[in-house]
Amino acid sequence: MHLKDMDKKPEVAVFCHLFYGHTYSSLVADLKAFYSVCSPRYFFNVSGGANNHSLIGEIRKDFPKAILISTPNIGKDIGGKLALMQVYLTLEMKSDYLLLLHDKVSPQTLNGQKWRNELLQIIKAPYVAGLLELFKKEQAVGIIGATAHISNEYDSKKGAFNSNNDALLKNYINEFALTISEFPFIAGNMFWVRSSVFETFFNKYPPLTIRAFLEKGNVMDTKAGTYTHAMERVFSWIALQQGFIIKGI
Amino acid sequence: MIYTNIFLVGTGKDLQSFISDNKMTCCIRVSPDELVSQKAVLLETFLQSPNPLGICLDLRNVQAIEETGQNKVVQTLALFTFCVSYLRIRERAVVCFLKNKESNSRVVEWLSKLVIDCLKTQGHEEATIYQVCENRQDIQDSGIPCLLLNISETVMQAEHFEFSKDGNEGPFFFSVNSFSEAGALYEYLMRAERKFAVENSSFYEKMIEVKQLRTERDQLYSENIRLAFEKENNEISLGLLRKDAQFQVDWFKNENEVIKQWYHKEYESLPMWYKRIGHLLKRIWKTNKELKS
Repeated sequence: MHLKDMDKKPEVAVFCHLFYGHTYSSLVADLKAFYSVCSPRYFFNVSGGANNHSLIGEIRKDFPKAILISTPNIGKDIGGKLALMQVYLTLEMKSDYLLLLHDKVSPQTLNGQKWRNELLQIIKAPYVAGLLELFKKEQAVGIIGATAHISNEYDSKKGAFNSNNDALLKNYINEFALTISEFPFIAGNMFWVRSSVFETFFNKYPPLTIRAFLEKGNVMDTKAGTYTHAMERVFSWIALQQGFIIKGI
Repeated sequence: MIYTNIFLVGTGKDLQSFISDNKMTCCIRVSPDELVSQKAVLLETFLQSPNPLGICLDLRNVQAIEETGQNKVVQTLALFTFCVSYLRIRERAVVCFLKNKESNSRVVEWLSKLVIDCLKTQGHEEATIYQVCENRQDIQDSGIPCLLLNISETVMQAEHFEFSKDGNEGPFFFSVNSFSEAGALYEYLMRAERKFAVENSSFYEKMIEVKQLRTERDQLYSENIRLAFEKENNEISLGLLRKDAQFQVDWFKNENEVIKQWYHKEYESLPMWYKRIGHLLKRIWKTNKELKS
């Protein structure tokens, strides 16, 4: 490593998917604080609203250099993040880490606000510097997210996932040739990941091709499995497949 | 200016400076090969464009595109449509195909179908495809709207506003070899509009009103989609709250019953002498109360 690289701030690509405009303002201060610990590049997706001029205007004012897109509402935040990933790859960008965020309103639960607050701990100033340090020190760590939201639905005795998504998850495992035996994932899909992990995977499996199969609209997996929720789990497994581990904070 | 549906078609070389100086809608003319090989540069252009910007795929003299190439073209187009400034008419992404006599019409039709299908799988309700020809004789009846490129200034003056009077919203495509040369055309369009406005003042006012109403309509259309989604979410939340409240009511009702049953069970299991003493004590307390009163 070159000496001048020792002090170089890590480059972070922040993917932020927004559907509910009212949640945006609560993220701004935390995201702006990133400049003190890393070199962030912001990517926003205002889903379902190229005409949502007020939100787009606010983002442009707060983050003038941000890359801003607006996708139709497919695959909820997963579809939005895949679209942002495709933009990132097409622009041939490079970074050290990716941060995946979304507005996480969760109308299907009564404790959505609590989940949101827990998941968003990872963008709070006291944690950011620490987790970047953790990435630097522990090369085996591929993903960092909120400990309370690291789930594992796999029942090794049954050889099945305790989830409506069991069949779809097995489809994805075959399709992406995943050979892992443990299946922890960050429920809520907000986490930090080494960029190289996603770059390797999504250069092989184009994000828009995956996105084309995700469901449209307000997708829930409470009654039946969905590709959207299955892909949410796969996002974490991509790192495991490449030999990394998931760490909680 | 009311030229909402006039698109300038040219190559992307000097587009940046043109679109930052003018408020006209432009379409970048690219061949399928260029679209794929220059996708990074083109995407950057779309991301930075302050004005609506579309793609005009140059299929002149194109006889065939191999299958992998077709997929790459439609995937790249789909990605461009995600840009905030991508050209849309009523939320529908617009893609134009420029063709001539030498174009293979089957390629054009097949590609149109692929683009529409791909945009649908990426969540667009509908896509708007226009075929644009340089000469009137190249227009073929293929079921896809086909428009004439490069309407002359005279025809433009005579036809555009006359079409507009009849409710024809266009679009009208103008080809420019270079966007740096498009300034003159822009000036011309401005002059033509001013002339029309003087000669047809009341009609022109209505056209401006219609333009504003269309903008509002488009915004309301998007707002409507978003609100419908929020309504659905709120209904889900409300359903959950009701379910939770009902669960609590049922729990307390059940609990009440359980306590009652427990009391009866416990009371019934008491020995008879205990119950009789209880009755006796009750009677004594009652008599005492009556005497005192």
